[in-house]
Amino acid sequence: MKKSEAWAALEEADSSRVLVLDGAMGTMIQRHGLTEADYNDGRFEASVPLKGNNELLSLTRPDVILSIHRAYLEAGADIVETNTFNANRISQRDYGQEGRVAELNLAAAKLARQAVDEAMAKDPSRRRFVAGSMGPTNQTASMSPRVEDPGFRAVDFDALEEAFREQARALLEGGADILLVETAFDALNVKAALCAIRSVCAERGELVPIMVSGTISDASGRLLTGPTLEALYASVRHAEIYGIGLNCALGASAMRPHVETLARIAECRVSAHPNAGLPNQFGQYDQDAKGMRAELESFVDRRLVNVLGGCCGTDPTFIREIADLVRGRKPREVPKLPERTLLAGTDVLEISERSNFVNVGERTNVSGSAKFRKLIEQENYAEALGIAALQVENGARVIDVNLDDGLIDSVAVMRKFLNLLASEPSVAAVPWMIDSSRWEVLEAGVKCVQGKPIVNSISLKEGEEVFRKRALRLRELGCAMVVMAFDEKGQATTYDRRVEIISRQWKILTEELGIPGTELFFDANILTVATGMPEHDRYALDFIETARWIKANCPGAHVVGGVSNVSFAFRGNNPLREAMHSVFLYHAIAAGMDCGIVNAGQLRPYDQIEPELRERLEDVVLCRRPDAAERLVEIAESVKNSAQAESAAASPEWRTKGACERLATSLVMGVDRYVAEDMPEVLAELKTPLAVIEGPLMEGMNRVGELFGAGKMFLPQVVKSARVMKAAVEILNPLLAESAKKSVSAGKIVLATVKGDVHDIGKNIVSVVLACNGYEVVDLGVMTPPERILEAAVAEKADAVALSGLITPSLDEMRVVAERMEEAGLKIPLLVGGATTSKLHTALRLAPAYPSGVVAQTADASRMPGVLKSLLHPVTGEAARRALLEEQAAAREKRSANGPAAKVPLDEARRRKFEGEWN
Amino acid sequence: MSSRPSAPKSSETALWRPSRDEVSGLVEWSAFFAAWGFRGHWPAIADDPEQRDEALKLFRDAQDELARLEPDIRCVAAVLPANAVGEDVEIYASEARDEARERFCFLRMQRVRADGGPLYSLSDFVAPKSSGIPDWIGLFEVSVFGGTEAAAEARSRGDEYSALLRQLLFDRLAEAAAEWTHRKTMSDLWGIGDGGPAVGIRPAPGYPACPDHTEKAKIWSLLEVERNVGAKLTENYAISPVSSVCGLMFAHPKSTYFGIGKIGRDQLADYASRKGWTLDEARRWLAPSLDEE
Repeated sequence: MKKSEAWAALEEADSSRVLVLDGAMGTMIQRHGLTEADYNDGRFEASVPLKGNNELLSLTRPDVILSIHRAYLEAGADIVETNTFNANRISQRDYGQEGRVAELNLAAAKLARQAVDEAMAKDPSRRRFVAGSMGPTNQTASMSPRVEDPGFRAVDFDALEEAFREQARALLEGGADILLVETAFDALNVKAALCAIRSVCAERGELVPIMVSGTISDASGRLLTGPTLEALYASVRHAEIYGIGLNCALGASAMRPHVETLARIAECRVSAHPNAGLPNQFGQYDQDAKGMRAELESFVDRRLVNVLGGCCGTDPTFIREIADLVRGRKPREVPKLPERTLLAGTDVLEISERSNFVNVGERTNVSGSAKFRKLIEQENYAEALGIAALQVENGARVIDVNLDDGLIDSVAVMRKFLNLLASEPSVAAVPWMIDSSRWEVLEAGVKCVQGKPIVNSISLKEGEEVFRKRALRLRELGCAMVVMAFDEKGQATTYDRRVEIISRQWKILTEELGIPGTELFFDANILTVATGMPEHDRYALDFIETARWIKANCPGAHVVGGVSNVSFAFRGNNPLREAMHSVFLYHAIAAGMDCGIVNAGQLRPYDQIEPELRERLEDVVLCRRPDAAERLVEIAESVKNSAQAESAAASPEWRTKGACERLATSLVMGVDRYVAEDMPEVLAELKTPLAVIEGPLMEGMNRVGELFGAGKMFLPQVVKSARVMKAAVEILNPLLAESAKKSVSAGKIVLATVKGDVHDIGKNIVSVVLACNGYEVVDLGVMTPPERILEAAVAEKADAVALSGLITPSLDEMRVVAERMEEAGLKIPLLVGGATTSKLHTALRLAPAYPSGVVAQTADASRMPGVLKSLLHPVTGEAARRALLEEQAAAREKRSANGPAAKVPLDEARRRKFEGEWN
Repeated sequence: MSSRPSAPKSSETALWRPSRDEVSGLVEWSAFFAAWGFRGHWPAIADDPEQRDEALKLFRDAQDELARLEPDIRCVAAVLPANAVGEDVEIYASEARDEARERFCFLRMQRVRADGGPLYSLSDFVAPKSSGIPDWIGLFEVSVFGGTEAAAEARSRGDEYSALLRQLLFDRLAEAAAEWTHRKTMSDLWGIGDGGPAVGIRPAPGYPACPDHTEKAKIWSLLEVERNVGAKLTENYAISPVSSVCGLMFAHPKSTYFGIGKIGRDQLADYASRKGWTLDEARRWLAPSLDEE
């Protein structure tokens, strides 16, 4: 696609200077003190108040929006953002204005255009640009808003793509030069936006500059849905974006290390528009323009950015400072990085010349694993997920998922399984290989994946036209692809046929379609040897030779294959098969094979194979003698018999690792005896106590939280880990400033056993589990009167209140607390737990007592952090709270529809009493 | 088959202070493991490859901790003359049975039972006054002192693990002491059985067969619990110290545990008048047994 005129102008402008993006729109609108009548001058039919739906102002108060644009241009902005952050049909649905989306975007783009054109007329020396702002919507496609149902999705790729397409089309029509996909908290939402934008560009015949800007949600440097910035970049790199950056959530100084990461890895422009520091307790920003400028100086000094601006809390005074700061300063230079393949789950996997062989776990394949198929057929997803997790534990760096089976609705099950996989942190971390012989399954699958997956596979089986179409679609969706050596005539079985097909595929994909070689994984067909048929003898050798040819002729491309095929003749003799795989891989890898689908838990080191067996295996694999197969069969049985069960002895090896890793491991293992010993070394390495907490300790606790949440760790271990954490923090505490203590907290929770109840074990467990997840817990103890709970919630500025109680009257005490919270005007979540609490009671009795807030019940302590995290999240918390309220409303409705259970009248019941048969 | 209630050997209030080792053999470990989030029953948990390692570690820690604990176990029990009047059970001052000194109020199941089984009330397990047959009911309360302090001690050292371990062990010891007391009451006071697993049931007020927590107050007065043991009731009828159990003992050979489930408005009104409560008071204390309108 040819690039737009604005693109060229942008490139010219950014070659010598840092471009200045404008500041916050919302902050400026707030200052106008607008009322409902400003938002709705009567033109909108609405069942809810529209005040706060800022996008409507482009129609009802264009003067306000125009004045804001003008003020920013006046202050020195090179790029102004349209007032369209929430102008998509998903977000507008909350206000019933989804029918107005096109109109809103068009009007907003025109206003920004007008302001820019005026500014250019006044001062034509420098080009100014309109960036169409595209917020993330208020839904995530990669996470469930329902804690109890991790496979659920409130929105999917197609709905997002449709919404973004509608928005992008109107923005460009209204005159936007750039499209800015910003405040992204989910890489899958971003991918849908990119797909939408590129398809609109295709309609218009030119590619506009696209900027992607993510939002980091916590100290781990990840987006809300898990991806690291490297992973986010890997997921969007295919879309020829103009720039990638960060905005919102953090102030400039907290954002800097993450911007550095992007500056290092991005082969495009880098942007940053941070908030004016961190919000105070009232949600307002205290930092002034000079303060922000001071923090931004290093961004410019170190040449980290190409575009710099402001987000929440910034206004034209800030932009003026930024414009002044960057004047005459050099922008970041876009680096030229070596050619490499980037794949991603929530972590990135880079494959380059230097990287090791990539093994792809094969056990989550219904046709390869009877156990997995059975679990899927029984819809036992929990255990099926366990198989995936085990492969990662065993070293698989990519997971192959294949659900092709005649009896399975593969499209639906693929969606379901991938959505569930996303909730399994260890598996979500690695890239996935979506594997199916059916195109619709592949397409449905990749639309559930927020990282950068590999699709397995496409081929020339159905001709060139289908091949081209599918390859292009996969490219659009941001996938790497396995290309199978298969054409209209069938599967390639000889060296010549393999080379013939692969050269043709290579030519089409790279020369015609422009797909980079690094995106391609050629599967040259690993076929079964030692079958007794002489024509099969060269199968393995021919594959190895083909691998060599691919590496020499297809720069950047990878060679992949399903390894277990090679030994299929020895079904039932696993020791022999494993040895054969090792021998085969040893030679194939030397020839250039860099990726294999294997059972990651069952590879034996080549040099540990007994020499006689190894020689006979090599005779077969390398086709060295005509009787090779017979000679292997001769010893096959004895190999099987002498195979020893391998014992997986626990390794005390972790004590030899680096100090930080040792500290994190101590935490995960719940061993406290090394903490004091390791701490000085860790402190020397990381310099500050805060860095120790945010680094190895936080990382260890995150691992514990994840393992416990996933049911892979038991409560005693978690409690022991907490003990280690406490011991570590106690060492650090005297060295730690008050402000630093606060900055590592995930939130403050007031916790109590209610009035009249003395049971506190459940409460104490919750306290430990919350502390493990970074929450600060204010524990009020047992028999706590409601007044004290309220007092503490207010005085401590708690983010939530959690109540425990075991006896039934405690349910009533919980209701009293809920009522008091309502009276006190609180809005923070109230959580309840304990043996007699229930979802139903909470919906019927507690939630209605506290309509300004939300009341959640959790069945056990392990769910608390997940529930809290979702309810308190700054971006998606609102959606999670709403989902809970809807669930509770539905429970109430269902209850009133069903009515009470039938009962026997008391006198009738008395007649049916138990007869004691006294005499 | 018919049953003739058997007269107790003694209707005196008995006080016992068993040692830790006397009751620890009766600890029910499944509940201990459930509290720590393990699934299934002990010792089957130790055969589950997924749970075995952690469960055995925990069990070892628990045994070590248990050996160090110094619980102060106090039990009080009595077997008193009683007869049923409707769903009430009257407790008499003497075998003359002419003066009721207390009256336990029970509820009756009202659910539709497809199996045609009986709609139980605990009063069904006591011979009705109208039959003229004398019957008896047992009462008990056990408290294990020292748990709160032992947990606080560990917590003050930052050792939440030992703190939770201790709290849970004290709870288990209280349940074990309840079993011990049940057996002891049956053999030593009532004269039924040989001190092995007790005949009959020992439901606790506030739990499914008799969900009204306020009935505990009657046990307190009949057994003089506060004086004899030192345990107190909170305004919502939780027992302090927390590692405590109280209950009633029924010796009828066919007595069984059951849950009242939800009751109708007719029984709510009936129960309120028996307890001398307003309907609102009854609603408050019986909330879990009522349909939530």
